[in-house]
Amino acid sequence: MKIKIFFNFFAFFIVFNIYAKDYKVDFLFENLKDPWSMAIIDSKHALLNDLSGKMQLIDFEAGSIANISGIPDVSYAAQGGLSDIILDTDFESTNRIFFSYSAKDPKQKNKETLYVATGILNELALEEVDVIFIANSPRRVPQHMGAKLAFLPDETLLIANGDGFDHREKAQFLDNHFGKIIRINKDGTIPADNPFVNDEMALSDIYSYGHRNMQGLLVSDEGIIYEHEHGPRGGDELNIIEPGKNYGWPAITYGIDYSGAKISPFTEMDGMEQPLKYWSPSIAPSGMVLYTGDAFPAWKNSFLISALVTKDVKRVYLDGNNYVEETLFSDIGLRIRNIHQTADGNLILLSDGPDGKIILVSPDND
Amino acid sequence: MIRFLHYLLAILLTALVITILAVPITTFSNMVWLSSIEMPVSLSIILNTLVSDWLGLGIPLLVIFFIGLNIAMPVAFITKRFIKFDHKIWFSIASSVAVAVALVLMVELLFKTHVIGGTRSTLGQVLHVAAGYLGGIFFCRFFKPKTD
Repeated sequence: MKIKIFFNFFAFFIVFNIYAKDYKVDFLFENLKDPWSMAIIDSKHALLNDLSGKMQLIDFEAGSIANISGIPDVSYAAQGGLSDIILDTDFESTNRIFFSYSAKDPKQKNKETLYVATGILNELALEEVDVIFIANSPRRVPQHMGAKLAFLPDETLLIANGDGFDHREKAQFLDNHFGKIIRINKDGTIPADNPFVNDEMALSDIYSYGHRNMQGLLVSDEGIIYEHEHGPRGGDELNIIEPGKNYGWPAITYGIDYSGAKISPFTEMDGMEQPLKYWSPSIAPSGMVLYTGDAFPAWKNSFLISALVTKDVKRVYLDGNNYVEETLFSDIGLRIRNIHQTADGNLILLSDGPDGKIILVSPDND
Repeated sequence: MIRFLHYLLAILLTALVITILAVPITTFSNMVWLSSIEMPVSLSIILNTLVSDWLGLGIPLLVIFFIGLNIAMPVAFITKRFIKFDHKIWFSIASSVAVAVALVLMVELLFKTHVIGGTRSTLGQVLHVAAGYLGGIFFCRFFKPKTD
């Protein structure tokens, strides 16, 4: 009998410790309309882009959220709208921000494309707004926009532009921006050392090609570019991006079409890059940080990748020669649209949809 | 009752015929494009992909066409008394319209995108409608609708 009680207690102890959470979750803001991306200014403030076209200034300490004026009109439909937002590399002195959005194509007014603009934040107004990039990728509806932004250490700007869904084959050709990562200077000019500047058949702002719908783009402190993108049914990828490289879509893929058809029977080919990791079935990765904080020491140097389909965050880390993953925050039970790291190492999650939430994840020290 | 079951079987087989004809349009459009960028597309790869597509794409298409035909054919039966030309052609047109409407609705209702790869070109769309027309011919031969 004593042995049975001991084993029951032992089993309870094991189970309790497996499921014991070492973090707590606080819902900071609710009822947001399609929150999509956030730029954290300091420990008290952040900028939030809603896909619906609202840019907002958040004051965490006061618990307030205020609209910013001066935002260009956006095409809020399908997957399009006001998308990514990042701070200038010298934001503290310039107050300049960069943001991406979908809007009418300047040449084909019945079509949509991706824009990138910059502006100076003056309290609750965005001033001196200047469009620095318009993608050559007109599409009937704003699907597969990509729209992620990141700065390289040399202060050039990377722009992810998705394949537009119906235009997937164009991702393999260099005369357009479908399925491309683009590199430009802050003023919209093209860096002289871009990989295709000397190719007359290519757009000279292209940095890499053969992408589908990129939803995560970051540059590590070492200058390594990491990107993740949605596959179709299966075949979501995590990649290291290098200049001039072809990432294969849709000539090679680990996924199949939503209809059930094979898009390509090939998964690898000479001259086309393999992902660091791929997911089949899809998780729909939606944002990514390379965790550098101290709040969760065990997660340091891991990728934390938010996911829409699986409604959680995947912690991806290198174990020997393999990237392995651990599932986090599935207890929240919401489609996670994006993930950000605060200055003190906590995490902010944005939940997807018309009742979007801003969720703070911090260590549970109780 | 037997005539009704015969009708349902005819609709099902017609949907199957259209599916068998329609799936290769997507397969070949993908294979032709892959060949155009010098991917090593061989006959065995084409055949493997075709079989895979008949199983993967074929089942949802069969369901969609079956539903579409179950709307189009009764309408064709009701309206055929007003039609002056060969009623067999009328049923073939009804079948092709069912396919065309299904393709349009798939685009409009599913994120305004072409989920069926083979329908993204005009040629692919025409071939799908032609597959629907051939399905209508099969329907007439199998079911033999009264033409008076």
